[in-house]
Amino acid sequence: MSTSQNTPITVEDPQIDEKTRSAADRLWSVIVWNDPINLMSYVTYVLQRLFGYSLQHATTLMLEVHNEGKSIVATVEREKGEYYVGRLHTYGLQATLEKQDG
Amino acid sequence: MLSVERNSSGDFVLVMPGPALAYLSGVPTRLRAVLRDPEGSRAAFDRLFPVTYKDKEYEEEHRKLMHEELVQRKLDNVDAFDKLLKGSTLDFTESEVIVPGNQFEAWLGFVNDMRLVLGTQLGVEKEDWEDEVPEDDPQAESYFLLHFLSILEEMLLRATGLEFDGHPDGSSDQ
Repeated sequence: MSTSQNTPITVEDPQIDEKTRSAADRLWSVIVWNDPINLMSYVTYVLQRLFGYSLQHATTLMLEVHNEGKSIVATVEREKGEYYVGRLHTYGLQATLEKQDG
Repeated sequence: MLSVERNSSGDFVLVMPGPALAYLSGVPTRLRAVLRDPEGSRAAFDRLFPVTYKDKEYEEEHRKLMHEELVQRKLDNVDAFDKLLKGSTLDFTESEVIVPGNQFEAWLGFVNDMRLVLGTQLGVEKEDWEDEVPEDDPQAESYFLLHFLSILEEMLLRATGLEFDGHPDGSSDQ
C-alpha cells in the first residue's frame, strides 16, 4: 500500500475561489445610525422584530449604535439589504446600505 | 391615568382620560400634512425618509423605485391610528381605545413618526432634551406632545411583553 494515498492533497480550484470572491463582492452592510430622538427601547424592539435577534444581541447592537454612533446590524446581499433598510426606514430608524470592503 | 395592557386576545387596551384622547385625535392631521406637503416641512419630511445609499447615483435609482411606496406605508399608519381614535368613545375620566394586535405596528409606527417630526421641527440634538426645555418656551406645546408620545411609545413597547433593559448581558440596573 502506498503511503501517498493517505497524504492530504490540496488542489487549487480557481472556479471555487472565484465564486467565493464574487460572493464576498455581493455582500452589503446594513448600518443603523444613532439619532437623539428614537428611544433605546424602540431600537431594541425593532432589531428583535425585524431580524429575529435575541434581546441580548439586539441590546448589544443598540448600545453599539448609541455609544459608537452606528452599528452593522446585518450583512446580506444587496436586494435583501434594500428590503431591510426599507423596513428600518418604515420603523423610523436611520439606516443605510453600504458595500462591504474587500 | 394612562395605561396600556395586552389582553388575552392579543389586542392592546389603552386607557386614558378623555381630554388626552381628544388631544391625540388632532395629531394625525399634523403628520398627514408633513407627508402630503414635503416642502412645507422639508427637514421633518427628510427625517422620515432618510437616504438608503450614500452614493448619489444608487440613491436616485432606489428612490425612484421605492419612495412612493414608503410614503404610502406611513400614510396608511396615520389612517390606522386616526380611524381607531375616531371610533373610540370619549369619557371624561377614562376613555378606552382597543388596538387590534394586527394594527399594533401601524400604531407604534405612527407614534414614532410623529415623535421624529416633532423632534426634527424642535431641533432636538441631544438625548437629554427634556432637561433643557425652558418653561416659557414658545414651542412648549410641541415639547409637551413629544414628551407625551414618548411615554405612550414606551408603554406600548412594554405591553408587547418584550424586555428592554439596556444591558447586553440581560442584567438590570433597576
